[in-house]
Amino acid sequence: MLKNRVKELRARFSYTQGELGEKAGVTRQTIGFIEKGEFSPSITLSLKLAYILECKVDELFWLEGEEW
Amino acid sequence: MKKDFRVQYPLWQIGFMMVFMVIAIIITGAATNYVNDKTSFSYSIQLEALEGGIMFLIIPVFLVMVIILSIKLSKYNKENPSKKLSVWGNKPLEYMEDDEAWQMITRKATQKVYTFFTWSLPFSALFHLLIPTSQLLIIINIVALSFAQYIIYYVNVRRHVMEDNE
Repeated sequence: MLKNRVKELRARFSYTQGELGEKAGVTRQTIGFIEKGEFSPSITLSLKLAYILECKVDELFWLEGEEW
Repeated sequence: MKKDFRVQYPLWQIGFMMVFMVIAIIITGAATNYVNDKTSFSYSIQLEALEGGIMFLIIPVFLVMVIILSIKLSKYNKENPSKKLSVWGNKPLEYMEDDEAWQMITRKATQKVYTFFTWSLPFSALFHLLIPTSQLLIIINIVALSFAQYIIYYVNVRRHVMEDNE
């Protein structure tokens, strides 16, 4: 399962979901679904989010589970 | 988001289906006169008082629905100039592919509709093959399938919208 720290890092930058979505070129709903782990973003969107939140992609997203 | 025109659009489709169903029931039940010979061509429908009254009411309802839908569509297009919708496009209006999450929602809802048709179409064909059917029953079947299609789509999209709002 894909885990993420989007919510945590977004709070650090004091962005709302809407603001982060606007910067990344997606809707607020997309950020909400990513934070809840209901949706795995594309590589492009992952890179955009990592760039905006000033971290590496693997610090923002990682796989969790025994099969990995 | 619940008020997004595209979330509500399947409900409009259902509304039009219902109007179409009423008109189909009345016309198929009415006495018709069809003439097509070397010198003349005519087609007339004779309605009883009740059926005529219903048609007299349902046609203005249909026109009002078309006008309201046009106004809503025009309003949506003014508010969203970069992603205008057209009823004349080849893509159903309810597709919401603004970004990745909405592509996911649309895909999930569409997959359920596809699954529904995968099962319902063969059963419908079998039903009409085995049971003597009238034109009206075939029309009712098509309308019912369309009705179910839009309900499945709407319920699935709305579920995601509701979860998102909570």
